[in-house]
Amino acid sequence: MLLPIVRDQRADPAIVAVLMIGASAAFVALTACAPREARRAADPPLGTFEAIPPGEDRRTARAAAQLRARELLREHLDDEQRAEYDRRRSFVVETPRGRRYRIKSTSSYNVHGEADGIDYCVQLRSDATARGVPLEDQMLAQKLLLELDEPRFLRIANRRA
Amino acid sequence: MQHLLKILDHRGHTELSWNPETVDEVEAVRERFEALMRQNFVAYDLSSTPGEMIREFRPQATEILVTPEYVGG
Repeated sequence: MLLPIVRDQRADPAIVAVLMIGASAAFVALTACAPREARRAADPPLGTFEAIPPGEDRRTARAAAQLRARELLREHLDDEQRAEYDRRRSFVVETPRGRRYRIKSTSSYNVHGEADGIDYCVQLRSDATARGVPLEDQMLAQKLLLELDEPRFLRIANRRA
Repeated sequence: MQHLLKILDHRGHTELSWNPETVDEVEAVRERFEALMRQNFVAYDLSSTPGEMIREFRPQATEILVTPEYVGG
């Protein structure tokens, strides 16, 4: 379509200019996307989570996983923590050294040090061997690490004041 | 009494059970446990409160929970 207009000496220069700008923009966009495609191709093999079919089945599987993770988390909370979690979707953990941390239902910087006011971020590795672990499982893992190896938690954590 | 290995994953978790008196069952679960340890997963023996971080499989444990490796977010 572009060619006949360009060949035609009577073509409106404004139209030609618009088409040229459009073609340039498309070229730039394609060039910019290329590295991303290359990165996707270089990704490690997909984990088993990726084997779940797309669409409704995947959403159903995710919802079932979240429910299962929530039940497991609740099983490992004491009565007070469970009641607070049911009410506020967060709970407080006290470490052997007597420090208190609030673990919230958000994916990052969700551990709040009550004494120092710092938000800590410790997550579970997500790669081909472990992918798509529900948030409630992450909260349980954070609780266990704080209770059983707080120094390791503090060594790993990123901090936000 | 149940003996369960719970591995946190995209399903919420996967459970493996074993009878400590049955060698084949113990060895199958031990093999899975050791494979996870080689991939830097972290294991807790939660048979009693407050629990304990472990590196070796414990056939007598009633609940072992395994999480993927922790990383700073």
